[in-house]
Amino acid sequence: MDSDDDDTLMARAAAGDRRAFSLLVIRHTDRVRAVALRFTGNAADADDVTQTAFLAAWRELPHWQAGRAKFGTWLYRVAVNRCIDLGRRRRVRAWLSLDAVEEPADDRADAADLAVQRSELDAVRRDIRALPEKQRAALLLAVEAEKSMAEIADALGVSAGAAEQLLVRARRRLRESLRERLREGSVGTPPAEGLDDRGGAPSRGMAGAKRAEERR
Amino acid sequence: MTIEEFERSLLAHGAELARWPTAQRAAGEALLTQNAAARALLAETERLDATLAAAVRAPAADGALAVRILASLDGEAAAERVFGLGRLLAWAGSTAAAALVAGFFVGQSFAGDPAGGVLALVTGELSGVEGLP
Repeated sequence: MDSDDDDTLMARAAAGDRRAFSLLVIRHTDRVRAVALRFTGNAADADDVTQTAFLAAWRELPHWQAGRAKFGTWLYRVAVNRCIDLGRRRRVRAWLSLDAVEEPADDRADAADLAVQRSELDAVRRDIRALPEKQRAALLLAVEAEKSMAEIADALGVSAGAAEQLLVRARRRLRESLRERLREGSVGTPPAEGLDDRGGAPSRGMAGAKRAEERR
Repeated sequence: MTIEEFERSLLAHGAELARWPTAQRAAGEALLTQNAAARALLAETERLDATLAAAVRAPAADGALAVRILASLDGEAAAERVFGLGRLLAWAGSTAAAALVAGFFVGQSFAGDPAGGVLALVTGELSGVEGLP
């Protein structure tokens, strides 16, 4: 049963198989939490989002219709909506001065932080949290959850073209920030401007790409 | 494929060309063989992707959250059972209460002539019951 796909497990769970649902929880908890953590920037909120998503799935079991939706996509849709909801509540509370504006970050270091300079990771995480909600969600679903364009579109309730546009805008903003840090020298070992790592000739691509971006 | 189209595909799908739609991938690979700007953009996006992957990766989980979630679902299931029993009791209670109230009013209505009133209801001879049209 462990190798069954998500939708098979969900169908079994809907038929009363508790172990099937447990396997879904074990299979997806870490990634849903990772997406939520990078979306909210807050460990407690990430736990809340993950728990809420699975509770919603549990309550959906009696109504679950196999083939109507893919479980993985459905679960991330619930999680992203909860992330957005929590973010809005926090902003309202901050506006009412009930919360500090700056959210506490999840600052546990791990092996990934050792591979890339810690300050750069922190900067990228800040950039991700500064993205508009849907761009942030699309990016996290692509990078962390490894969802396809169609799945991202489904999870966000938008067309595939709109999902692609969200990803283009998100990556472009992050790339601009990265370029800025490279220019400032706050990121180690920048690639030579216009020279690719396969020994290609100096390029006009960056400036041209930037001009094209400014035109859009 | 133009360099602008190549750049857009990089931003949409990332630097791993294997994840691109088939037609775009073929066109992109062809462009890479002849265009240095495309190769520079690819290298830059590879770096961006690597940084993003490291930045979004969550610290290794210990399974504690999954355990907490499963425990909360057990609680939810227990609550559902209690709630279901509660609803049954509420239904039974309200039905019994309604019967008592109805019995009281029926009793009050025919208190003056219980036998005649009930008999009139049964036989349909309502004209004999005082207060009814």
